[in-house]
Amino acid sequence: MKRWIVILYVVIPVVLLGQASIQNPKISCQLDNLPLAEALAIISEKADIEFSFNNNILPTDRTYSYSFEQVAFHTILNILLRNTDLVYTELNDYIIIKQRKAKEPRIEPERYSLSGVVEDAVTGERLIGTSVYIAGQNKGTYTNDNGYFSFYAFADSVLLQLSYVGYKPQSIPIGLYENKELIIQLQPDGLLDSIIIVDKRYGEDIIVVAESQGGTKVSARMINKMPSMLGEPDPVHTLGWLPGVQSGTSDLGNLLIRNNENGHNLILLDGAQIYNPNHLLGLYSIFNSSAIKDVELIKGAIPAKYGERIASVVEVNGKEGDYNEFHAEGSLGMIVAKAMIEGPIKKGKSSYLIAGRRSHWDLILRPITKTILTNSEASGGYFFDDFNVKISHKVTERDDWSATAYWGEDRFSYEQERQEREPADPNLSPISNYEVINGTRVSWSNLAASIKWNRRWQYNTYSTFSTFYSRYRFLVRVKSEQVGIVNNSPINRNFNLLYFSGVQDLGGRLDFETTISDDLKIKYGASAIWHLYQPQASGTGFLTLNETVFQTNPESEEGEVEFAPLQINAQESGIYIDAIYHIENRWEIQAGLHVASFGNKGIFYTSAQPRIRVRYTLGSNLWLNFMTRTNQQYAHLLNNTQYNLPTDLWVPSNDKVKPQLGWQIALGLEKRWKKKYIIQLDGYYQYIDQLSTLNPTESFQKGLTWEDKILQGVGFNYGLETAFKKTQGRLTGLISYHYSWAWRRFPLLNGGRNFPYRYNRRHVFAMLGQYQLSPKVNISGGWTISSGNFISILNRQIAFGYPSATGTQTGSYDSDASVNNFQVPTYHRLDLNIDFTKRTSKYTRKWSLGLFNAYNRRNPTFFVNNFSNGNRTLSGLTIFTIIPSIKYQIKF
Amino acid sequence: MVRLLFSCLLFSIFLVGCTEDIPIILPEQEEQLGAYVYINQTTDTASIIIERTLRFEETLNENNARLEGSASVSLFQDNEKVANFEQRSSSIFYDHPDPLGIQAGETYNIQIEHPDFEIMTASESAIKNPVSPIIVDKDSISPPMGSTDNFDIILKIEDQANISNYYQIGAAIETLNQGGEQEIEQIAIFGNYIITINSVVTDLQFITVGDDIFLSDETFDGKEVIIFFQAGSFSFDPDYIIFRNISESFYNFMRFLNNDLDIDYGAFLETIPVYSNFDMGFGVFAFFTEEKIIITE
Repeated sequence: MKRWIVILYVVIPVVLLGQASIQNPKISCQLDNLPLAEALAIISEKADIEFSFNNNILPTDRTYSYSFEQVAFHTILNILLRNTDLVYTELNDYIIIKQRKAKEPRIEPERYSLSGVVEDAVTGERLIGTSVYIAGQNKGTYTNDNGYFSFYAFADSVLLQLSYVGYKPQSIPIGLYENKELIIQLQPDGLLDSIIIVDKRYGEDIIVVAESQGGTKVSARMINKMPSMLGEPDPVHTLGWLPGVQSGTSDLGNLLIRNNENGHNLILLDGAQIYNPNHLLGLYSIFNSSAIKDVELIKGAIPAKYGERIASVVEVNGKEGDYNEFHAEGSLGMIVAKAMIEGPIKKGKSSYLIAGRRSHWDLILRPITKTILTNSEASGGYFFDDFNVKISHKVTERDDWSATAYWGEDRFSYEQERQEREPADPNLSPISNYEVINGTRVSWSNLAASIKWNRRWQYNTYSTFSTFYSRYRFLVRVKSEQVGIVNNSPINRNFNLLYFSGVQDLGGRLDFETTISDDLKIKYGASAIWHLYQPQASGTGFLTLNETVFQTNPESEEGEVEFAPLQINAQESGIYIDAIYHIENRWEIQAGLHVASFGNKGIFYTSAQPRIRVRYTLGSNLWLNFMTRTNQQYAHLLNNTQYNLPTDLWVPSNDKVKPQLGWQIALGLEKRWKKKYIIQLDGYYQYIDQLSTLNPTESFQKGLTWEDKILQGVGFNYGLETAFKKTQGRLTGLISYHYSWAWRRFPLLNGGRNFPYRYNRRHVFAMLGQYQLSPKVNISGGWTISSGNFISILNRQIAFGYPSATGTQTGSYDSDASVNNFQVPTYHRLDLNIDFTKRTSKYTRKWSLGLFNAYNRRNPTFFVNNFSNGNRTLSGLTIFTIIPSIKYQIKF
Repeated sequence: MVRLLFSCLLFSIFLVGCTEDIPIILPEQEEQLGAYVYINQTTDTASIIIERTLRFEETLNENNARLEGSASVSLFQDNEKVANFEQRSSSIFYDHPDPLGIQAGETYNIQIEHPDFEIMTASESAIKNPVSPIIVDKDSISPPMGSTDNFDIILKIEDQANISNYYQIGAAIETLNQGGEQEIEQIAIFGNYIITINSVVTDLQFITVGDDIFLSDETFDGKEVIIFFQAGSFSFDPDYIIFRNISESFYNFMRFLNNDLDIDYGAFLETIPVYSNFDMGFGVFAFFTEEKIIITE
């Protein structure tokens, strides 16, 4: 003790002469429940640095237990003193510890970054949305779309807690005495899936103010357990159970978010945009649940990264193949057969996944068709198929890349060959004898491919470079050939017709994520996309893609008319920055700006699209959320019917068709308790300017050019969403309710007055749940009831007159009183599903029995006018009656 | 098992193929008025037709759409009444005996009152700067008039950039009827117009209603437009062409009407109201200027 006091007196004059920085050696020591004085003595000895202090100022009411291995001396000192009323200064080779003065700040804790990736311990697949959390410090975050996380925490011996749907929670003790990078593996939790829907805003079992996007993620495992049409699970239809999300007529395809249009969603498959996500007119989406990891829907606070659409972002993440073991999966359902294989290319380093599926009705019906059409060699049918391939490679601990490719097609075809002969009597010499070959093919297809390179640059920065290509095309081919003799003259007639429309994207984007401090994280980047729109909808003749598709036969008696397809090149680019800032663990503020530009034939649009999201912790597990955003959309989807047909056209903004502008504001409350119950209430208002629609009276096939068929007006959507979720336990589920209004106003429609949006179902109530009866048996069901949507029906005849060149012309036309003037009957439906699973050491097999529309509610899909004795009624045609299904699935 | 699966597949196909009709009774619709008010700025006169709407299932004829009682039709400019129109006896037509004094470019309001219906109003601006077509090189029209061969009549419209203009064009002949009186007959020239924009042929820029074509210059602002009348394929050559500058509402009404008349409202197809700029009713209130281009003397 005396020695310390002597040193103190010796040192004081020196202090007056000036200070010099001392070294910061790394030391190792063990502190086992020691008071501060003894702890200081040990580190002084280990570091060979002397302390100067008065023993009386040291607290005696606390002890320290640490195990330091090669930890910087100053870091240890900071840990020991930061929660005391002491401060210290450096003087030559001495550290002087003294009592903090009244206005003197406390010792600021040192902060270090904790970053890394989280993987599946069995397959090696990166886990998206895993919560990573330090309980004692209330610091945490979630892994991003590539399984990466980064956040700052106080230097200390911490317990890192991780949790993710379907995986065992894990706690890892970590000495956070410098910036740390980790690769963490989580073990799957076995048989039971306890959580069905994860809301990223809540996390799973932690209560923390953490970075979030307001998105809702649905895992493939959950999708596969939910009831489905004819036994084929569908990611997009599963989203339809969430509040504020609707599908189209009779659950046919459309994805309508908060009463926005179908074309207002940005749908991405591993970063590549999908323009038509439907098979079979929307009965199924193009996403094979065996080939996807999860689907995330962001309908509220869309991050600044995205600016292309005004309603929502739907991110579909493809599943990575197993890095360690080979697996195969096959299933046969009522309508689809599919198969998937996955495995390592190089164990632990790279993997592949290949999946494909095909509808099989046509294979069954083809023999029947042939039997019915006995007089000719006719064949035809309809099928859809799709294929997914994904290759992933972990190059180093810091670098990995993945390549994804998707191709899918719907095809209807009809072919007929017959022989014509005159006279028909084979004993007579023919005047005409020729072969007729007719063929029709209607197909629509999506092709999407992307390559991603992910890199962790340093302890707090992560980047993704991706390049992508996508193509959607709709094609009609009609072919007719007549070869032989007609009226004793040889003929060789060819008739070809091709109708085509499509859109292609080629682009790239660079995204960075940097954790600046424990309070601030920024995301920034840039993107560029080259679009090729081919809205070849206005032609009236026979169209060919190019001259090589159909070559005119020089002997043909009938030539063909050829038009070059309409091609519109457009360029879209954007830069963005998003800052996520936390204040005192109560406020989370995300402020972002997306600046976009769009060029088309010399017309150039630019836009600044700001957005902000605020989350405030009101109390124990109670949050208040607020967000407002603007988005500008340069692409327009033109539908010509009430159903989601492949003929729908994507067209770009130009000098006449202005970009669509969406502004939305939302306020919500969230409450969570017992780590498994969540209730949320959100109110929103959205205004859409320059809302585009195809003039409903126009046809693609005649009249004006496509841009003259577009009407632009405004839209208003507002409503309340509420949801109750039980996220853990044998019974999990969701109850949602959406109460909304949606109006449209176009100068040329409805006399310029507001009219209801077609799919504005005022009340939508849904219940979805699953019950794990035993490890082998899982039951799930969903019931939904909603107000009927609106349709326009003819209800008047109106006489008209107009001055022609030579006088007044009169006549009459049929019309309705106003757009969407009739509300169809209430829609409701119950779906049930039960899975029987058997697991052995070699394989897992599952029988799924389903019942779509279990109590056979007659929900109309189409409407038909009926006339009888001067009276008129409307009939609803129901095509989706009760539909049972059975499916067999086996995995190796 | 295979047999079971196959049976299930066939059963599901059968079920999916099932359809059921559900009769849904439509609500009663209130009657409203349909009014068509065209003011010819060149002659400073108006043409007005007012009828009532009928239920969809009724049979419309000349009588059952006729109004019972008379409607009051008034024209306003800046809230000042410009004219009252009177119903012709036993007719759906209304007129005004004196010139209306329409001023180019000014906005007018029309108001229609009838005791059985709500008051209908509409607003529209008179044509401000009418555009005259130019007959390009009349001597080049060949073969000579009277021939049954094809020939072209070329109209060139010097379009005004940044201003939306709308046009109506029709061709007519003057004939003698059986009583020896001269009559005007419009030539049906549907499908025989060729329009070029900056020398590029396009068949997509106009609509045809009856025997008239209607053009919007929105797609060719500031560019040169040439219209070829291939009239020789008909038995009559036009004596003159009526060329009108029409107001936007007139064009919109004809555009919607054209599509509506063309559509065969089948079982599944829905429709929307034909364009109307009237509140509380149907119809159109529009202006036009008129020019008669003599082809044969």
